[in-house]
Amino acid sequence: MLRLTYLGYVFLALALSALTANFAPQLPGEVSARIAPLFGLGHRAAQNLRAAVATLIERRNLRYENRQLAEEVAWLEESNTELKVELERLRRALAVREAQAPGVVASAPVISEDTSGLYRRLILGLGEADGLSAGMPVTSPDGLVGVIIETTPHRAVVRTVVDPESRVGVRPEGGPGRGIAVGEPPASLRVELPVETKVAVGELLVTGSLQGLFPEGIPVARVTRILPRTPGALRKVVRAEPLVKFGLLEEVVVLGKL
Amino acid sequence: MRTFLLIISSLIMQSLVSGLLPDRLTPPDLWFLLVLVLASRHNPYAGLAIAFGIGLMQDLSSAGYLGFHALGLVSAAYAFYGLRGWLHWEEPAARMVIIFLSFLVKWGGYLILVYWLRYTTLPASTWAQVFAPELALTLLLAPAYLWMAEALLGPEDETYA
Repeated sequence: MLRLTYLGYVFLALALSALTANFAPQLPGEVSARIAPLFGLGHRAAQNLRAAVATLIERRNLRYENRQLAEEVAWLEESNTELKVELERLRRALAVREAQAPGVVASAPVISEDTSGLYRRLILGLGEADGLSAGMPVTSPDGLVGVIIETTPHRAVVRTVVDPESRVGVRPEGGPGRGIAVGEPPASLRVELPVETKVAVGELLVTGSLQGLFPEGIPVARVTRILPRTPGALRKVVRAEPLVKFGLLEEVVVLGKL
Repeated sequence: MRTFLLIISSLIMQSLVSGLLPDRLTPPDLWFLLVLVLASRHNPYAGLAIAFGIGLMQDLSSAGYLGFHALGLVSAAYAFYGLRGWLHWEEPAARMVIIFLSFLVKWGGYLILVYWLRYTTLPASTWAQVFAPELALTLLLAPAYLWMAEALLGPEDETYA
């Protein structure tokens, strides 16, 4: 009888997965965004703990640091006037940059991440009410983060580039050759490039698909390994490490849809 | 009430541990340990239902396919009840063996669903990189987690032990 009950649950799970995949693919994302605050509590605590440990390590030699800071303050006072002038210049530059980069929709805080080891998704603290919608690229100063796949009025779910369902069109920064980077959790990418592409370990990969989801030229990952080519292979396969450290992300920039 | 408290604290701990570990490491599966603890305190029919419900909750929180983790966890609970007939859950060493074998069955459940979905998600490389660290960290954390669960829920009911 217990075996039959178990088999019943197996069939129920298979039916639910098929229904989700075919008829309601947005449902799990929507619920995930709504219950994010519960998991966000642990996520924020972890971020604070990590920051606290980092601070403790950095400040082991407080006396030495204090002397260094005293010298630095003297220097800072001397250059205060110069910095004020520099600040004005930067303000003007920022205004120009804002005017020339209309693609930026919002700067959003990362409030949580999914708890499954098989996916790599982030929850943002902004949603539809802030102008976010599915399909918008998400970046950070370090590089490409991913794409928004689901939104609620005040939350958004981001599928990062290392998520197994992520596909990003990329090319080597220094030359031609467009390929596809597929996410491999927990923190790597498998990139398939044309066999003629010249790529070396350590080379930067940037977004480069034609009419894709992402703007051209955003840094994505750095090549860590070139896999040996099998006889008859039509693609060159490399492994790459994303430039973004997803566990340390606190804020991301959301761009408009292309 | 205490069971509810254990569920909530497990979920918060799961996100806490996920956040504390470096990006390269897959976090331990506390959802799985939670299911085993609850299964050990309920009859098999209720235990399977609880495992399935918690699995659905994990699916929803992960924004993944509905039924994916549910099938893994219900398989783990089913294996747990089978293994408990052969090994004593009360003995620490046997407990770790039960956890290890139930963990393998959980991944067997995942594989059934991946096959059902015609490999449209989660390529083989993902399994290779996630399986081993998740297993190792889950086993490493299991004694502390089980101790915490027992402290919160009290001694196990002899009826289901």
